[in-house]
Amino acid sequence: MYKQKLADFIYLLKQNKLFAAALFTLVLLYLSAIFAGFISPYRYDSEDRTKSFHPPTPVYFTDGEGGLAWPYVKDYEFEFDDYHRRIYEPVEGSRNRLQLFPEGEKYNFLGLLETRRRLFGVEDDGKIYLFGADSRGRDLFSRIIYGGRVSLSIGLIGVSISLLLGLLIGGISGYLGGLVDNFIQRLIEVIMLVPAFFLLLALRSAFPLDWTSVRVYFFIIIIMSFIGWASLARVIRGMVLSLREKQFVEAARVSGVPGPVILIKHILPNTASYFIVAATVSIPGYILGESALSLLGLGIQDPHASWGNLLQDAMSISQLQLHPWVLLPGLFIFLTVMSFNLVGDALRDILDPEHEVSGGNLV
Amino acid sequence: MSLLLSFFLVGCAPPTPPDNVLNLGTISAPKTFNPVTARETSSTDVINQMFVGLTTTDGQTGAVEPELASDWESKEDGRVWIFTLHDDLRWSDGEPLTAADVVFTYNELYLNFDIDSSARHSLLMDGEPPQVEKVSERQVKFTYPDPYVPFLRAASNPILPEHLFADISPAEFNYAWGVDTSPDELVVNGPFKLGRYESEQRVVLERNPHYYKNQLDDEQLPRLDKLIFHVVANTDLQVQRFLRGDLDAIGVQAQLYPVVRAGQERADFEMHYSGPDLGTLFLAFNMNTTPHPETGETHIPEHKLDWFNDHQFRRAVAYAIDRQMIAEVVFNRLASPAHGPVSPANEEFYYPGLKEYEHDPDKAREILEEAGYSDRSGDGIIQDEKGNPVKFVLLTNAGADQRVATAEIIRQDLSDIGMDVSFRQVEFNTLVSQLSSDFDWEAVVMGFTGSLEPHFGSNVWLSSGNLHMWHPYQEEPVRDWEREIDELFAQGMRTLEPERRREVYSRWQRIVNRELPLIYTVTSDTIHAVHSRVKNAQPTAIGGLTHNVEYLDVR
Repeated sequence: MYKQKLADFIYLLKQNKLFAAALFTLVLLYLSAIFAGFISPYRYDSEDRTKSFHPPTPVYFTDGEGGLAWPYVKDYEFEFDDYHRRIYEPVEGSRNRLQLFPEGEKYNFLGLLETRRRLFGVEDDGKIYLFGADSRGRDLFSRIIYGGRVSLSIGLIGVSISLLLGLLIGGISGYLGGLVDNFIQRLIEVIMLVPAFFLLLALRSAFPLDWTSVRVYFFIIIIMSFIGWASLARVIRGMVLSLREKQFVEAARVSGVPGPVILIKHILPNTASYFIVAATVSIPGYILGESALSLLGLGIQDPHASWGNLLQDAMSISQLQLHPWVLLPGLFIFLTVMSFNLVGDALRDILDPEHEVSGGNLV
Repeated sequence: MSLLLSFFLVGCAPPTPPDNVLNLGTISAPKTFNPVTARETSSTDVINQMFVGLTTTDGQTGAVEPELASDWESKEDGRVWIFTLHDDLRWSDGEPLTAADVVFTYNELYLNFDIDSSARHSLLMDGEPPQVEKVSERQVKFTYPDPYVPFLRAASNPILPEHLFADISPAEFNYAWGVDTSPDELVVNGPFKLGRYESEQRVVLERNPHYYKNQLDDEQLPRLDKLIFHVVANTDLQVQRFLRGDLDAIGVQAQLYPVVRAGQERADFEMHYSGPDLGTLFLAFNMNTTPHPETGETHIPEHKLDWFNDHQFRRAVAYAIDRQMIAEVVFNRLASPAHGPVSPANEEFYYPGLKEYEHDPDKAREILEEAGYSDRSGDGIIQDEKGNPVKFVLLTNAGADQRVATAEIIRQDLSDIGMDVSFRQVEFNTLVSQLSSDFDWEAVVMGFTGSLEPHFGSNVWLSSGNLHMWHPYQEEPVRDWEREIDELFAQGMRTLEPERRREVYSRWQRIVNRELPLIYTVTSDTIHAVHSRVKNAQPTAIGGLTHNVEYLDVR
């Protein structure tokens, strides 16, 4: 059966180009987040205040006389014009060649070894700003890649936790029925009644200010998964209610298999088609939740990066007029959310053609 | 056809002259219209258009000018001040404004300790109120036990109508004239009276026909029919609305300057530069060693108090801050490094000879090393002699873009010299209560609006002051230099001779510059953008846009 599904899956990839593209985007984004230290040319907090709002650096492939050259970038310096805008001009004759695998700032490769090797960089003292720089001259490309670690993982971890909770609680509720079921269902209703984002805001403000970004990060995950499991548990419970009347469950029970084993080995696996899809479509909710919180200055704090707090710069219309590249983190959020939704849709078509699933969006 | 024609006819009707209206923006709605209890600029900006006092400050020169008083004299070296009111002054409801109103306003309102007045401290001398007496219908006498030099400026507090408040209890007065007051009840003496207040939207002020300058000049003053304050909650939006023409004038923050300036290509307005701003922007540490009255413990851990009270620690911080880069990155180079409590905008008292703390992280590290702070564990964070890592939280109020950006730079600068600083934005009211009643903050980036009279900063600089942020409400000055500043302020208010007075306040600035209870960052430039249709606009750093509001004209 799984072979058949895999074949279906590959067939669908070929058929549905959008699905393939979305999956590819996600894989690429997650890889870049995992290898952030390697891929980004600079650390997330390395700044050069003389390069405030440096525009994206073009990479040149020709030597200016029509011939091809090893890719290089130019040095840029700014002067304030009459309007006190920073006008960046290339420095005459400067040519910093791109380097593959140069030694950059130290970072921790996958938490295993300290290294300075980075994917690419610029020779000498040159700087490369693929996506431009922020107000303090920090490379936006590096910050987006590093920020992806927070923004992308928060969805995965959050969903795993709420999935686990949802499966267990929903399963128990449906399998046992009676008073336990009644109690759990009322609890779920109460949790679903709470407006999620306000709960998030309230809980965040109740905790001490001197928490590090890492602690805040785990805290956000925990709150969001605590809110997220309820709707999932509800559907699982419904599915378990009908599954437990099935003959194979009956058979297991008659042969003396203990209840918990029946639930975990025989009933819950049958809900897989639902929860895989539900998980996929609810990941964007976590990503958006974190972004919103960080955008309001309550989540991940400077100098650490997440796509949400990077977008803070883009809150001002004036900044957008002068430095449109500060909006780029928004593009990454958009791409990710879009991809997850496309993948979720396609997965539903494969796994569960009859059911409509709606993701529990937090925001 | 007939429909078209009728439209045409309407279009042809003789145009009524357009109203003479000035549209200004305000960041937040006024909280009250009560001139005595108002505390925040969102309220006083509006109130100052409706109420005037005995004296005023010239927006151009900063000199004290007559307002309701046509004349004054001082006797006994500044112990006694006698003000003579203009002839035939009237309230906006037509009642006469006399010396009785002045005596009532001072004795029963400003100097009444049951009323919550923020202006009181500028009128008290060593905590003692002056004696205020009516001499005649048009003359009022103020008597102080000692010469009180700053009094002329203090006498600019708005005068209120006795005939409305004669029988009110202090408790009632504290809540009188809230924003729900009907326009008829708000009896004023300034150029404008309240037209209507649309909650959280706009305040519409109308010309006060009984404004005293109406009788003095041969022309009708103010020239404007209406002055409207639109609540636009964000500076960015204010700029956009100004560029669209909805607002006639705005104060331009440095970080938005390029956008406004570029807008000149599309809209017809002028930029006015008025030099450095009167206000200050600084970093402060909590040095409050007074234990909590109930628990008997200090408000923050004692080892942190030890760092913050360590002069060498603060000196190192002063050297670590890159003021030049703050001016450039945050203020687009429209600011200059600041090292003392008086802005250069205050030409009379600004002391130019202060020590300048140039950005020098090596020197900062050296100072810390010598004072016993070093990285013994090798984790990149310095520790004090007892081994506590130097780790604290830096706060500023959320939404204040310039402060947030400045604080982020300071955070980075301090982490470069090995301090583990986390930066948090806090809602303004939360921050105020932390600073003024909970005292559980560690470091903060804040600003003060400046005043031309240094003595009016006594609530900040006296060790007993409520805004003596680093250690407020001290019964006895804890630190020697605080005692010295207390004495200087006591001396400054009694010194009549300007040159000697300047010397007193120069000594104060040198002490602050040396002891660094507040570590100053930059002084931003004052820039206003005013639409060309506004005539006579002469915005200044001292008086802002509205110091000559009665002569502004929009046609």
